[in-house]
Parts: sequence; C-alpha cells; structure tokens
Amino acid sequence: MSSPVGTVDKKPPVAGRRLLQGLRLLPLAIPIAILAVLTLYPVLMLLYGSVRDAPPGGGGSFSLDGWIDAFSNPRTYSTFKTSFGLGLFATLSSVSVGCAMAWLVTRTDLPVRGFFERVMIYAVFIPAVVSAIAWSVLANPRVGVLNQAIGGLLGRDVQAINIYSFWGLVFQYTTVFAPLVFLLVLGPFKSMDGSLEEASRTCGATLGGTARRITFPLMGAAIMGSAVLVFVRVLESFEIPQILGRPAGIQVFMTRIYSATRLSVVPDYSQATVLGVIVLLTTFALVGLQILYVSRRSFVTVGGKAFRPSVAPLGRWRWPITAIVVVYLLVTVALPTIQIFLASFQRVTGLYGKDNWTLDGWRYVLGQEWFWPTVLRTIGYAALAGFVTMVITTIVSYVVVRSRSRWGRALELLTWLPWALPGLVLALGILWGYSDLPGEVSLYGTVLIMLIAYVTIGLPLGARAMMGGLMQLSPELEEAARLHGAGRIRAFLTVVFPLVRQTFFFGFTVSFVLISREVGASLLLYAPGREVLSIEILGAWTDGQAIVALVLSCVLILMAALIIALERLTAKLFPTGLE
Amino acid sequence: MAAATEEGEVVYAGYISEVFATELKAQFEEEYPGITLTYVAGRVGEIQERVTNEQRIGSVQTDVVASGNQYLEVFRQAGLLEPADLEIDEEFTLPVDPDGNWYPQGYIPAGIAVNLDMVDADTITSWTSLTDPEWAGELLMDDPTSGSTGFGFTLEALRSSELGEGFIEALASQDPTFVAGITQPYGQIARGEYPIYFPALEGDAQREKSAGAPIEWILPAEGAYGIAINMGLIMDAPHPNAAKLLMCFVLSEEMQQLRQEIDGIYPSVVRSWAADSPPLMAELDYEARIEETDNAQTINSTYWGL
Repeated sequence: MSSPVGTVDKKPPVAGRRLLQGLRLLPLAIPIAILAVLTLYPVLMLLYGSVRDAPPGGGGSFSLDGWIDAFSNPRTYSTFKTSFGLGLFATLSSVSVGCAMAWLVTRTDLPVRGFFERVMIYAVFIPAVVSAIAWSVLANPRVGVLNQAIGGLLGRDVQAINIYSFWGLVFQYTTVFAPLVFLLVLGPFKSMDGSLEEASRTCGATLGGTARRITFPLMGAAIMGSAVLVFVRVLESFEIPQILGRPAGIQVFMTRIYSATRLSVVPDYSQATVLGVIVLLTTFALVGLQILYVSRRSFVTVGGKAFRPSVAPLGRWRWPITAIVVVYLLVTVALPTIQIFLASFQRVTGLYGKDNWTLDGWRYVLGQEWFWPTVLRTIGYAALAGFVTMVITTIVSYVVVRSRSRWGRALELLTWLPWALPGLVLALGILWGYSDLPGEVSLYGTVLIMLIAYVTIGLPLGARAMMGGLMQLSPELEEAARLHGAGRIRAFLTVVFPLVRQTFFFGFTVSFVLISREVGASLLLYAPGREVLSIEILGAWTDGQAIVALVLSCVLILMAALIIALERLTAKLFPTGLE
Repeated sequence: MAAATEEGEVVYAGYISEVFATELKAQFEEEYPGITLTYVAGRVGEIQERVTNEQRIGSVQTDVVASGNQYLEVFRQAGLLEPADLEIDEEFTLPVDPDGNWYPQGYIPAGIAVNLDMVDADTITSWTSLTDPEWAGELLMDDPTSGSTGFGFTLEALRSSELGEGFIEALASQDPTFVAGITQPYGQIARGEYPIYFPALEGDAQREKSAGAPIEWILPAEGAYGIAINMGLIMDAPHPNAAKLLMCFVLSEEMQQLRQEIDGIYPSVVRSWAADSPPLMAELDYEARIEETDNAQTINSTYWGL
C-alpha cells in the first residue's frame, strides 16, 4: 500500500533494512556456518597433517616425506588401478541394479512391489562387515556353502564361485551399495509426475523406450548423485577389502592406510593422510563433474499441479521379471541375513553339525549388565545426531538447490567432504580438531564430541537425500506462497517442507542407521563407560568372541528393521503433501 | 591404600579380553571396595592415539595402559609413562623395565593351528614342517601388514638361530594366503577352508576347540612365537594410587592363574604351577624390535612381496 502524500515514510533507513534482512537470513546462515565448521575444520587439520612429520599439536616440522614416499612407491600406482577399477565396476553394477529396482517398484505393475521395496530398504542396513563374513562362509572357493550345493548337484567338487577375487568384491559391493542407490533414488522416482511417461506411451513408445528416453534422463540428478556416492564409498570402504580382498592379495587405499597407521611403531599419519588426500581430490573431481552435469539440465518433476505417479504395465515380462527380482533378493538379502542369524546360534561359525547349535551367545549377551544401557545409548545418540543432521542438511540443501550461485555449489561440495576422507582418517581430524579448542576448551571424552562426529559423518547422505527431493520441486510452489505474503521461512515451512517431509523422515532413518553402526569415529572418541553397540561388536570380534559379535550384529539389524517399520508408519500417518 | 580409596576409580586401557576384564573388575572391586575399575579394551593403535591425545591436551583420563611386546617401551620413550615403582618382590620370567616404567603381565604363545580332519597333527611338529611342499598354497597366515602377529613372527623367525632368513624365504615360496584379524582365521580353519593357520594364539585355538571345532594347537619344536603383554602407569595419571593397586592385583597369584585359565596367557612371574610354560623361539628384545618395526615396509616387501 502506498503512503498518503505528506506523511512520513516509515521505512527503516538502508542500514536498518540490511540489518533486518540479515536477521531474517540468520536461521539459514547458522546451519550453513555450522556445516562449514563441521566439514572444513577436520579436513583442514588433515591437510595440515599431510605436510607435517607429527600429528597436529604434537610438535614436528614441515615435511613432504609423506607425499614423496607415497608417489615414489610403485604400490601406490597399483593401488590406484585396483581401487579405481573396483570403484568403476561396483558403481556401474550398483547403480544399474539399484535404479532398475527403484523403477520396477515405483513405475511398473510389479506384483508385491511394496514388499520388495521394504526388503531393499532393509538391505541397506545389513552392516558391511557382517555381510562380508556371511559371504566368506557362503562363497569361499574351497568349502563355501554355495560351492558345496553346486557340487552336490553336479556330483563332484567344484569351485564355481570365489568371493575372494576382484569380481567377488564387485559382487559384494553390489549387494551392499545397490540398496543404497535404491534408497537414494526411490524418493525422486516416487514423486515424479507420470504425465510425461504417459505422453510417451500414448505416442507409441514401448515400456523400455519410455524408461530410457523419459524416466531415467529425468532422474539424472539423483542417479548421478548416487553414482558418485557409491564410487566414493567403494574407495573408502575398509571391511570388505580387508576380509575378502586380502586372501586374494588385493590391496586398496583403505587397507594401505590401515597398514600405515597400524603397522609402524609410530603411526605414519602423513602417509595415511596423503593417501586420504588422493581420495579427497578424486571425490572433488567427480563431484565437480556431477555439479556441471546437474547445472546444465532441469530435473524438475514436481510442479504446482496435482500429479500421480504413472504405473506402466510390464505385460508378458511381468512374471519373468518378478522371478528375477525374487531370486536376486533371496541371494543378496535373505541368504546373508539367514546366515548371520544362524551363525549367532553356532558355537563355531559356519559349522552345521547337530552339536554346534547353542543359545549361549544370546544368553551371554542378554545377561550382560552393559547390554541394555548400550542399546539405549546407541539409539539415543543415533536419534539425536540423525535429527540434527537432517535439520542442517534440509536447510543447506534448500539453499543449494535454490541458489544458482557459486556459493551454492561450494556449499554442495562441502556436504561431500566428510565422505571424501576415509572414516578412520576423518575421525583423527575430528579428534585433533575438537580436543584442543582455543581457550583451553576440550571436548575430548564428552558426549558432544561424539555427536559432532556423528553429525559430520551423517551429512553427505542426509544432503543427498534432501537435495534429490528438493531438486524436483518447482520454485513456482513457494513463489506462489510468497506472492500471497508469506515470508521465505514461512513459505519453506508451510509449502516446501510438507512436500519433502517423507524425504526428511527417510533421510533421518538412513542417518540413524548409518550412525548406529559407525565404528571409526566411535572407536577413537568414546569415553570409557559410554560404549555404543558398534564398539562392543568390534571388541567382541577382535577378542575372538565371534558368537557375541554376531548376536550384537543381529541386535543392530533388528534395530534397523524397527526403525524402518517406524519410518513406514510415519509415512502413512504424515503423507507427503500440503494440508 | 587410603589414598587409592579416596581416588575412587581407576581406568585401564589396552589389551584385555572381555571375559577376563569382567572377572578382573568383579574381583578387584570386591577386594578394594570403593574403587571402581573401568576398562577400555583396544588395539595398540587406538590406545596410543587415545593416551597421546590425552597428554597433549592435558586432560588425562587413563591410568594404566597395557600392550604387546615393545609398545610400552615405545610409550616410555615418548614420555607417556612414569615409573610405577610397585612394591612387589617378584622374579619375572619376561623382560622388565629396570626403572619400573613397565611390568610384564604375562605372555601369549603363538604356534600352529591345524584342522584335524585335514591334517595328521603328528606330521606338523615344527615351524619348518610348514615348508614341506605338501602344504604349498594350503597355508593361512596372519597378514604381516596388519601390524599384529604375522609381522612379529617374521621378525622373531629372522632373529632365531634355528630358523633365520632361509626359513622365511622357504615359507614365502609356499605362497601363504594372508588373513587379517583374530576371529576370522579360526573359523576358516574350523570350516576346512584351509588346513593350517599360523602364528596361532594358543588361547584362541583352545577356545575354538572347546566349542567343538576340529582344531588342534601345536607348539613347534623351535619354540613358540611369544607375545608379552606389558603394562605401565600413565604420566600424570588422575588415579595413580588406585592404578598401582590394580597393577599389583593383576600380578597376584590368583589373577595370573585365572588369566591362564581364561585366556591361555602364561604368567610373567615365576610360579611353581607355571613350570610348563612353552619356551619361546627367540629372546624378547624390544630395542631390536623397535628398530626393525621402523623398517616394516622394507621387510614385508623383501620377504612377503607386500
């Protein structure tokens, strides 16, 4: 409304307006500043560590020895080749399988697709170490259960499947990461307006043609994001190459970093951080390419109009594809899960004689004084850190998606940082970074340092989930709200958030599980008496108590199943959409 | 004693099995009411990182630290320990620091574990038995790059007058498969993935055997590879008196005997009931080990092609 002639203009002066604008942006600025601190600070500490001959704060002097040692060692180049080869093939297969499954359960008339969806989500939560152990029992070349079964059918000894090999590792990575890809692209696949696909089919395109030309290109941002994520996760995975790669003589970045920090009398952190920095630079290059790809296209699939996902008929392929999906899920999800649960009742893992069954493992674990406090502590830490992670990543993702400036891209790059460095090395950065803050403040030994570490570790996945969801929302929705007088924050809370609420809960679920099974940071940062489940599992495993480790792993899996059920319930109670 | 009770707590970090730690805690707290024992089990890398960081930021939480072989001497050289000067009158079977910075708790003998369904245990009597061409491609060995028993065994064998470089070269030509970790290899032997695993800790092999696995632990004729567990008092420990009480308690006859029963860790102090302790293949020489471990990458590359 204009001011009547002769009245005093009550608009605040320019400086005041700027201050007001600044104050309005404060709720956005705070999480962004927190993100910058959480991600940049430990990484900078590590970069600094890579050119020192002692850990930061531990004295020492400037030294390039770590870099010279790394690049003068021919093994570094063979490690490059193996790690990148594994990354490439595992990414290709994981993305293919994960996307195909997401497409089948969201855009086709596959029978019992809701059940298949829950099974795939559950598969994300099988801890990699437990899955690797299960597969070493199932598919070792000499006495693996599967080889024995195939041998039994053929009537002779065979070594048909060898999990201790390059392709064995690619297979194992696919079982672990295809569900992760599925999880990340599921939301975008679900919330995609089906009118384009229907138009394609109306014009005579086949089911496959529509998927190839319409569905998958529209999913480009989510697929690219998950592909980069899988590649980085393969580069920084430790348990799988350690358990399944070492028997085949396969060395990757992480097993070399482990040797550098564990074999020397004085841990060689500069060597470890140099190798970590190589992974960091690789990640940056990949993320750069991804941002370039995303910034040149539009992936908006949710506009202001009401939509319904289109369901394409599979026709005569319906039952053959269902059979393939069932076999795939039986082999990659059911078999290792059954193996883990069976092994928790076995005195000696992998022996099936009738005297080998026992309830001792479960009795021992449930009878321990520390059991319930540890379970509750794990749930508490994971829930709190998971929630904080999602609040930060929701705000940051919104800024990234809506801002086309270089600051937005820089922010996106920041969200990748925690996964660009190996967990163990990042944990060191956090330890060094928060143990000795200015003013003689130390967070060492407190719950807070663990929560900081967990939030930092949860950021990349939380951000991927939220960015995937937000990228599909047309700005016209909140613009309409703002035209009707809503402020930026109100428009976000009343229009944007309800549309991505399901993604938020989803991201929370994933962060919760990721945090609840985190090992690297917990190991270095936990205070005596504040153990979490992952620490107890590792302790039992390194202590030779396989049965205790397996029982606790089953507890973690049950916890994950419970949180998935809760997430499903939440999705039903609070469906996506505006009220 | 009164000062220890006033401190009310003691924190132990380092090598300890869960079962023994639970027993130790229960018995220590019963013996010394009012003092709570908290333990942090962990491998040397994590423990070293923990105690170094505590010293650096001046927020020491750990009182007693325990680790294998040379690492307590490394801690001493790094200024992480202070003399405990325990008031005990014991004769030790293992090296002890003359200045009282670290004391041996006991030692774990490592030998050879075999699957009895696949191997006639009588044919494996010594380390050199492993170089028989029959076992080419059949041996499972602790990964020497993991910084645990595989690497220590290599060093001791190289120093041993009976074995030496020729033995390690012959063993390497058998093309052993490397495995990392403590739990995994015993399962692999029990399931028959491989017939032989080395260096195998006696306590772990016995535990699998008692669980019903067809495993036998063999003490090689040249002697066992020995892993001594040492403990020391952390510099500026917050509960030094309780820490000294705990260290003496660990060395007491009851605890030494209990640990042998639970973990197969042989006592560090001379006792009549411990006369059957397995002999070691080479004298424990921590100074030499520290020097050799600095060349770990060269040694692994020279002998194991890693």
